[in-house]
Amino acid sequence: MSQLTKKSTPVMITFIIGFFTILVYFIALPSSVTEASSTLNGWATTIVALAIGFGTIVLLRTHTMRVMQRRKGEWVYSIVIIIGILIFPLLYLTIGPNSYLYKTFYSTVNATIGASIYGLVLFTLVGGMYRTFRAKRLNGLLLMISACLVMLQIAPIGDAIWSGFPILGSWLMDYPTVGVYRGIMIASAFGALAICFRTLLGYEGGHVSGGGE
Amino acid sequence: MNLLEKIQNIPTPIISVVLILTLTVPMFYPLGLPIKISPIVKAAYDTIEQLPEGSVVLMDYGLTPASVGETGCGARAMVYHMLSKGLKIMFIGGGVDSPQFVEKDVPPIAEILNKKYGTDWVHLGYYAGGETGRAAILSDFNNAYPKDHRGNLLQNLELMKNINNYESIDLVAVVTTGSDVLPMWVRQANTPYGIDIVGSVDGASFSIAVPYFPTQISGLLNALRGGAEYEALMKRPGEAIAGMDSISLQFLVVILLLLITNVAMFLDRKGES
Repeated sequence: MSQLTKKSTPVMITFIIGFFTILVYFIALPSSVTEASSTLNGWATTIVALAIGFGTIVLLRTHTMRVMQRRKGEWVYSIVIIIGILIFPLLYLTIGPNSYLYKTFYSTVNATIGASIYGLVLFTLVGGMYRTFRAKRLNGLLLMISACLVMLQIAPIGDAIWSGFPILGSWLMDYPTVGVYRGIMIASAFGALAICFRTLLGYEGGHVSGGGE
Repeated sequence: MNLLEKIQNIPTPIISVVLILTLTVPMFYPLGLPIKISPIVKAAYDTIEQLPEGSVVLMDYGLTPASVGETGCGARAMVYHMLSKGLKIMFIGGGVDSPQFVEKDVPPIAEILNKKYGTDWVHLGYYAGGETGRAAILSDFNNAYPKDHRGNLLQNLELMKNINNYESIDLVAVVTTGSDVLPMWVRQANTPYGIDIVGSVDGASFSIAVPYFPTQISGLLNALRGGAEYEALMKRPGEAIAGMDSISLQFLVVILLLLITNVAMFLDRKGES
């Protein structure tokens, strides 16, 4: 396949599908056209599902190689990953996701590990905050005061200490935070629009063979 | 090392022990501090309360093992409220963990309220595709989900017989810890079709979601605090209200640590100069 075809084919596909999908949002079109757009959305879901499957295969291959090569300090963990990758699909396909064994495996392995890791983050987070949150400059002091006010707004003890804490915390969340985030959102929406047009017209080459070169 | 330096270098294990104590002691000796209801949570409650019986809710139940402690209580309180009001719920999940949490959380609530699977609630399961996946679901349920999570054909489920697309949806309820998930629903459900949205999100996502209130998002629960307020509104105290005492003490410890270490640093510097 020539370099021209390699680059122009994905750009053409992107333009046609992207333009068609956007058009349906802005112009009232016959139901057959909107149905076609809905089918395209369905395809996207299938493509993402395929990509997840492909990613799993790549991960499995990478870790199988590590085990075969007996890479020092890595291959034991790779075995755990391989077992983890294989066991859930196998249970899903053989006994189903609503079976007792599948649910037990999930709740005792995956859910427990996930919750434990997240729980441990608390200690790291508070420890890190204690060591680094020093008001050496004015902006550091302002950040620390804001953080304390928001914490006192969320925790009922803030209201018990002084009824003004929740009011100050709410003001911080309702005005400066909302105002700044709205500004960022609107600006990033314009940026996304520009990227969208550049992608549709083929100026963004990340998904095309050879990248953006 | 003088006292001021020691205060600035409290060992992490000591901080951890204090945190563990503040987490566990209120579980045995609750402080029972009152919880004030914020307008944003009241708005979420009122949105659900005002829906007529039989209204259809599409609920994106995006719980994960890591987030269940923060957003799970609010999610369960909302599900209880909706089912007790006679609303019909279609559960979907954008995360791979979502189906497990729907199957764990919803059947016990449905059993208490005597609600039947297929008639009062259905579980459609995981969907891939992020924002495009959400657009696909709203435009055609049968195309996106030929079968539910339990393997039933959608046309065999009574609730799904008259539901084809967004036109049948009265409310979208979103439970998530992904900061991009609520904005996706705003773009795909509220902006094009005008469907009301309520949500239960974690603390980090709250700041990103709150600018959409009250125009695009009708109400929002901020992590465990939001769940506690929702439980208080329902007059049905649960895990969230119980957890607020721990949150109170932990935040107090964090603030005190910040305060003493900064005062010590200031005095230390003053002494040096």
